[in-house]
Formats: sequence, C-alpha cells, structure tokens
Amino acid sequence: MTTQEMCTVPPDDEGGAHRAEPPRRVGTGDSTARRTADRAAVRAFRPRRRIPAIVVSVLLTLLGLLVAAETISGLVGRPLRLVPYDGMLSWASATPWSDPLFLLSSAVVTLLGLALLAVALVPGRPSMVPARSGDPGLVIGLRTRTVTKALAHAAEEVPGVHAARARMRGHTVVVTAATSGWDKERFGEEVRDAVLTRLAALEPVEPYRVVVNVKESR
Amino acid sequence: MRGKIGRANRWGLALVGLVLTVLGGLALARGLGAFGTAGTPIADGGVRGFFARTSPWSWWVVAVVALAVALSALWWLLAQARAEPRGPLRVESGPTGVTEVSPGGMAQAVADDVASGPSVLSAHADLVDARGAPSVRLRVVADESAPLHELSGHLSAVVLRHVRDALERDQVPAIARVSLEPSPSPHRVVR
Repeated sequence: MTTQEMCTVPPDDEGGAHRAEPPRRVGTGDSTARRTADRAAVRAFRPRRRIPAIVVSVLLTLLGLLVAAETISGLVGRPLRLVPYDGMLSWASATPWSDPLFLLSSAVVTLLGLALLAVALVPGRPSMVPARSGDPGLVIGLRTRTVTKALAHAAEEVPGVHAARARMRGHTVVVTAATSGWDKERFGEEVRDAVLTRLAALEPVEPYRVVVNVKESR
Repeated sequence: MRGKIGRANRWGLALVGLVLTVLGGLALARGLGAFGTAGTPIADGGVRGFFARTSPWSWWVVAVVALAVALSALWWLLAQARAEPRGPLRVESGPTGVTEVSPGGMAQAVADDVASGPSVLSAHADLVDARGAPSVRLRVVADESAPLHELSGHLSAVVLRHVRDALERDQVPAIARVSLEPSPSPHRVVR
C-alpha cells in the first residue's frame, strides 16, 4: 500500500509547510543581489547542448567543404565530381515543385529546423541542482545524484523506516519509504517533514515538489 | 568559458534551425502553390539562365560562402573541446615588471582554505584565467546533514575574500560543484 504527500520547497508562500530554519547568510538583506545570484546559478548549470552542436557543426563542415571543393575544382577546369550534380540538375529540371517526394523532403527540413530552434531556445533541465549562495560572484550547484541520496538518508532517519530511496524527475522529488506496516499516515507525515527539512537546508533556487510513497513491508 | 560555449551553441543551433525552417517552409509553400504555379520544374529556365548569365563569378560567390560556412562550423566544432586556460595569473604589470601567481600553488591554497570550512569533507580547486579575468572552479564534498548556508557563507566570506585579496581584484567569480555525502561515523579507539 502506498500513500502520497506533496509539498514544495522553497514554499509557494511565506507560510509554507517546511520547518527549516531561515538561512543566515552574508548580505541577505539585499534581495536584488540574491535574485541576481539565483539567476546566475540557474544559468550556470543549464545544458550546453554539446551533442546537437557537435552533430550540426560536423555536418556543416563536411557540407561546406564538399560544396567548396566541387565548385572550385569545377571553376579551375578539373571537376572532382564527388557529387553527381549532372544527374541532380536533370532531376531538378524534370521535377515540379509539387512533387510529393519533394514536398515530403521540404516538410522534413522544416521540422528539422523547428527542432533545432526548440533545442536552442528551450532552457532545458539544469545538470545540477542550483543552490542559493547569496553572493552574485558565487554560483553553487549540487550534484543531483548526491542530493537524492541525502534526501533518502533523511527519510531513513525517521524511526520505523527500514529503507528509503529518492528520485528526482524535473522539479519533483519522489521518495519511497519502506516502513514496518502500521500507522501509514503518520509515517507519510514524518517522512515528508524529514525530507522537506533536509531539502530546505540545501537551499535550492528553484521550487521542488516532494511526493512521498509509503510502502508497508512485512 | 563554459557559459560562452553554451551561448555559442544555442546561437549556432538557432541560426541553423532558422535557415532550415525558412528554406524548408518556403519550398513547402511553393510546392503547395502559395507563390503561383506549383507545376513548374524546380530548376526551370530562369534558374539555369541566371547561372549561365552570371557565371563564373556567381560560382566564386558560392565557393566563398561554402568555405566561410565550413570554417565557421570547424571553429564551432573545435570550441567544444577547448579547455579553460590555466596559465599564470597576472596580479600586477607595470614598467618595472610583471607580478604573476602560479595557478597550481594558489589553487592548492584555495582548496585548503575551502577544506577548513564547516561541513566540508574534501575540496579541490582550479584557477582559470580567461583574458585577464581570473575565476575559481571548486569541487567540494560536503556533509549532507549540514545546512548549505554554512558552506556558502564560508566560501563567500572567507575563501573568495582571500582570493580577491591575493589577486588584488574586487571581483573573482567562482563556481562550486558540491557533492553531498554522509559524514564519516566517529571511530572509538580502545587502548
């Protein structure tokens, strides 16, 4: 059997459910500096889009070199003919714009372009959990895998919890706790409080939802 | 450096994506009859006549554009593997000489400074100097049960202040990648 409890850290309003002590930090009074530091932390750990960049740059390099080599070799009178452009020209001279294969290819190119635009413009999930530093010159990121382990350990510290594991999916932390099988509601409440307290102490910049599943082990 | 590559990647992908979207979209629109007859050949007499009239300079333009695209894409590709510069850090330069700091020695001092902080289990530091703008990269293993503000306060108020003083700069940005681990359980030794 399972039960689910949800809450967010940092809280949506000041009267949030977590009970972590407020952070004591250098320069906490300067909210503008804090916001600047938060934005810098989120930006610093955004995905760099290396894989698509490598694929596109390799293809563009090869395409550019091929076109340049074919054109220049043709201009100096020694055409390389790596590409069958005579055949391509006669195909283009005989094929209308409304050719279904050409329309399909155009649609694929358009979709590819839109996909690249989406990859470029969508910020993406940060590679680490950005944390509050309070200093615009200092960016702190927490390794996601170690954060989930820390939250699982926090859940395991609740008396009666045999084992716990935590996973992070986007901005949701899913904690699954195995208990001795009685008073499921109380376990859910205590695990949630323990996880929220630990999560609040880590001071994440972005809000995280905590979902607690309690499993009764016999 | 990391941020610059990320920005360059996004700009490059957006530019290529925009070109493909516009070209593909225009070809699709032409094939669906948006610009008049869709039954004419793709390379009709107008296209062939244009290249016949403008040859050979139009082909030289094609070659130059293709070379420019290839070289830009190659620069973009090589930028992915470019490491952050880790040469000596210049503290001061004047007519009488130059004062430089060895990045290795200073990085060790910074790592020791970080490791002396509360809740820190181990630390590693690197100093990067990109065009005269030094910055600090930290890899910290911290106690998972300690509040993070202890660590961030130590880094901000002690470690970075020492780095700024040593390099005689008002700002030295730092990025800290923190791994959380349980603190080692205390051992009791019985003699």
